[in-house]
Amino acid sequence: MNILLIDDHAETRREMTALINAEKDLRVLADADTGEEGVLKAYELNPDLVVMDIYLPGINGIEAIKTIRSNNPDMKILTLSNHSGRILVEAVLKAGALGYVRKGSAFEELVPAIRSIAAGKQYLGKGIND
Amino acid sequence: MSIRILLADDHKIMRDGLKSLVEKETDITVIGEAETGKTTVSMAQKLSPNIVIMDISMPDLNGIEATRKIIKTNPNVKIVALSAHADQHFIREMMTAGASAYLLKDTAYEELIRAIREVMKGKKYLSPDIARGVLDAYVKLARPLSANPAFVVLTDREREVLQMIAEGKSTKEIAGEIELSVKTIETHRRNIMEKLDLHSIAELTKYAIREGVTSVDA
Repeated sequence: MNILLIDDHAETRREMTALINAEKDLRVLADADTGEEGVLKAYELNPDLVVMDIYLPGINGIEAIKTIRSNNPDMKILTLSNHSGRILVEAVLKAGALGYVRKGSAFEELVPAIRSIAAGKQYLGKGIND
Repeated sequence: MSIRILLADDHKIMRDGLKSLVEKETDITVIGEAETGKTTVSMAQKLSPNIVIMDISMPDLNGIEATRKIIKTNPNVKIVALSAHADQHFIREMMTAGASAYLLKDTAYEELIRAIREVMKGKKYLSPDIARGVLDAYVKLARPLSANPAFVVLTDREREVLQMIAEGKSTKEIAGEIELSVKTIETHRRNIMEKLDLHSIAELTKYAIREGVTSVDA
C-alpha cells in the first residue's frame, strides 16, 4: 500500500516513515512538508492513503483535506495531531478525514489506524472523542 | 439577518476548524479572526460583531481581560468562551468579566451552535459539563445563607403540605393527594403554624408565596 506523508516536521516525517516502512505491505511513496505540496502530490501520485498533520504552514490542514478529497473523493486520509478537542475533531472528520490519532500515541496507533481506514473503517485514536 | 462572528484563538488550526464548521450554517458568518487578546479587542471595536468566540489562553492579553475590555466599550457584543479549561476559577472569572456562555473545546459542535443561538436571544449558556461544576460550587456557597425558616424548620412533608395549603387545596384534597389521613394533615398544619408562629390559612399562604415555597401563579 502506497502512502503519502504530509508533515512540516522533518523529525516526525522520519519517525512515521520508519514506522510505516517497517510493515511489509506498507510503504511511504512520498512526503511533503506543506499543505500545498501535499495536495499536489496527492493529485499527481494518487497514493492509496494519506497520513497528515493538520497543523501545517500555508494552506491549513482542513483546507488541504477538503482539496485532496475534492480531487479524489475516495482518498482515505488519516490525520495526526496533538490537538484533541472534540470540536476540532468534528471539523477534521467533516472535512473528509477518516481517522484521527494523537501524535503522542502514533507509535502504537499509527499502523492499526492505517489498516483500519484502508479497510474503509473510521479510526479514532486514544483520547479522541467523536 | 446573519449572525456576525469574530473568532479569537491563538491556534490557527482551531480557528480553521471552527470556521469550516460554522460556515455551513446559512445564517452565521465569520467576519474576522484574531490570534491575540489585543487584536481581539481592537477587531471587536472595529467590526462590532454580534458574537466573539473567545479562547482564554492567548498571548499578550488573555481571554478574560479581553472580554472585560470589550464588554466595557461595547456591552452589546456577546462573548462565548470556548476553553480547554474546566477550572472553576476560569469559569468564574470569565462569567464575571461579562461572558454570556462558557463551553469546553471538548464539547460537541452542535452544542456551540446551540450556545450561539441562546446567546443571541440574550440568554446565558453553560454546557452541561460546566454547569455541573458551577452548581456544586453554588450549593457550597449558598448553603450557609439559607436562613429561610421554611427550608430549615419545616420537614419535607410539612413543606409539601404548606405548598398545597397555599395553593388553595382543602385538607381533604391534600390528604387524598399524598395518601395520608385527614387527621395527619391537620396535625401537619398545626405543627407548621406553631413552628412558623402563623395563625391562619391566609397568613400561611402569604408566607409560602413570600418565601418561595409556592409561586403566585400556581
